[in-house]
Amino acid sequence: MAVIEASGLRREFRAPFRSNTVIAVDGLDLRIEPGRVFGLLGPNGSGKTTTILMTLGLLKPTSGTVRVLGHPAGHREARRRTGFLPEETRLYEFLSGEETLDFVGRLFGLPRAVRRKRAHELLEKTNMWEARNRKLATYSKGMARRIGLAQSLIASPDLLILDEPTSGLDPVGNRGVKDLLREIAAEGTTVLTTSHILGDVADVCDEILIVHRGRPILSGNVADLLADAERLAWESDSVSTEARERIAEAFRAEGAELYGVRPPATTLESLFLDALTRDKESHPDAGGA
Amino acid sequence: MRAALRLRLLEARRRGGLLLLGIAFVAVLAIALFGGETVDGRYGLATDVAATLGYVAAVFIGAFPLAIDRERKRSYLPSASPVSPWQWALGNSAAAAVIAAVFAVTLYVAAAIGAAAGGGVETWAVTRVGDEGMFRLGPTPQRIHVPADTQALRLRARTFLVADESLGTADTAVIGISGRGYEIHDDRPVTVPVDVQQSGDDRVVIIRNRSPEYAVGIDIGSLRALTERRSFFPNSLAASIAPALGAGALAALGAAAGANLGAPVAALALMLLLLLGSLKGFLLDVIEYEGTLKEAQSTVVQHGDHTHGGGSEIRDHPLRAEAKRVLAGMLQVVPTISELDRTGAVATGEWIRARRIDSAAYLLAGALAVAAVLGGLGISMRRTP
Repeated sequence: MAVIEASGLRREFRAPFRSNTVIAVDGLDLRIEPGRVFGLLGPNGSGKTTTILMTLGLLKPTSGTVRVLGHPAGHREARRRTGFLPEETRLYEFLSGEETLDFVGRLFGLPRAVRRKRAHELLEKTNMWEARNRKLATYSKGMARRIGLAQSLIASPDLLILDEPTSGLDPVGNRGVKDLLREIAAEGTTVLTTSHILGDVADVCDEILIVHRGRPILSGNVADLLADAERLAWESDSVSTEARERIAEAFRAEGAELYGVRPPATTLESLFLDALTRDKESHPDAGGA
Repeated sequence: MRAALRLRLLEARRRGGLLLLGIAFVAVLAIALFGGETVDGRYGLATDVAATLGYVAAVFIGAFPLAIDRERKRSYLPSASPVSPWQWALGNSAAAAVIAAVFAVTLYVAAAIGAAAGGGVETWAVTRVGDEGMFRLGPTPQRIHVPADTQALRLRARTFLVADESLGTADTAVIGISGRGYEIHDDRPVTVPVDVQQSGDDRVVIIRNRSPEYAVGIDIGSLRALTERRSFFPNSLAASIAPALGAGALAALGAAAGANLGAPVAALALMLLLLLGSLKGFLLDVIEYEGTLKEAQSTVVQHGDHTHGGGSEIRDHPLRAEAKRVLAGMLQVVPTISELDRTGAVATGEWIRARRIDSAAYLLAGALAVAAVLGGLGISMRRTP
């Protein structure tokens, strides 16, 4: 049974006192199998958030159907098993991080001991333990995002729906969220996420659907979609110049074009994180928020 | 429901609710200590201010779920959780009601502490005895029908010096009630203990004018039989019920309506009702009460030769009387908040003055609330998913 199954989904918006109608989602079919990390991609205004809200039952489709975990979208049982991180982290600013997790745990009817245990686990996982007693009003955008992610996980959901989870995060937070998503997916939780940052999607998603102007235009397995069947990439230890020449000769003998031989470059993200780690090790008592 | 209740109570505390309550407490306490010449007057004014602030708080506490509702929509946390919308609405409403009740009761405590420090006050269960209008009290004893358990009578009277009888008159008119004399001061209610007498099947109190050199007009609408003394606590609790219910109802509408337009429109309707209520208070105060007194005064002056007639009623011009009746009938449709919070218990004192103050405060609170609701409406209209 698919975790999310949408068929012919369409949503129109009519502005009050105006005659024009905006079609946010138009004829969307969606099927997400258990344990998959599914990325919903598209430019601004392409209908990603509207699709998510319909999946949660917070918006009614103009036409079409959505079933979540075997129930109609918005069904109480479906909501009980779904965690959600909205695009805008509008949490209650007068609560602390730990109180926020406790509040959401209450909404899900978790017993006190479970709420406390889960909250502590998630505060550690999202690297928010030290800031757990600070009011959310004092949090940076990235910290609020991480608490938002933690609250979406408080009830150990079977389905996690994330709207732009890495929005506003610095590279450290970004890496942390991606690692957490991989961990969650490895535990069998199904994840539906949207993002503008295609590199993040490629890092964590098994499948993607690209939408444009409310319509699906491309979908499939990420590895398959990104693979270039016409080319091969080789990686090896460094070899002598003579050895490189012999290898190139072998390619030419096979009639294959050798496009280049160069040392592999690290990513900017890795470079940034390594620099931070080195600085932290050499100046452990330095300040900062 | 409990999550919403706890969240709202926590929010009220963390957003400065205790500080506001503290400031209001000190203000009411100061009024009860220094706000008038007599302790009854100070207590009356302080409780009216307490009730007014209670209503202002109730309006804002009740209207606040609109903001919460918007926040809920934007964060979607409760909506996306298993909590049902009605549970969320109920929790919000209960919290608003609790906060409003705590606010009102605490301010009544301030009034009581201030009044107790100034010598103590008495509160009574009150029954209205007369209808509207005014009658002239002459030297001939008049009988006022009262409930059997009446212990005291409260009334307001107006005195007019009769020119041809004025030589050698006393400084102040005196009326006799149950055989004892009481001085009359214009516009100030007098509360006196009475002996109820049997007259056929009726219970009556005997009242007469002891100063024939004065024409004394009794405001029939002000006649109250005070039947039972009540302690501060039931009095304050009774006074806190209406603000608590109002805040709870408003919060329920705001949170339960859900739709972008529904909540503000529902709240707007309630705000308009409050405005009408306060408007009625003004009309009763300014038109009916003052108008009646002025009318009575001019009638006495014009018909001075009839002032010695025993107990004859001073009548309005028929057309004006008819207009007042129509107006009173219209106003009966709208409950006056001032009347609601005096249900079952009332403080003796300068209640007319206080009533004008609270009417003004209701208008101000109503106008602010309407502005807040319209602002929320505008923001809601702009919201796009």
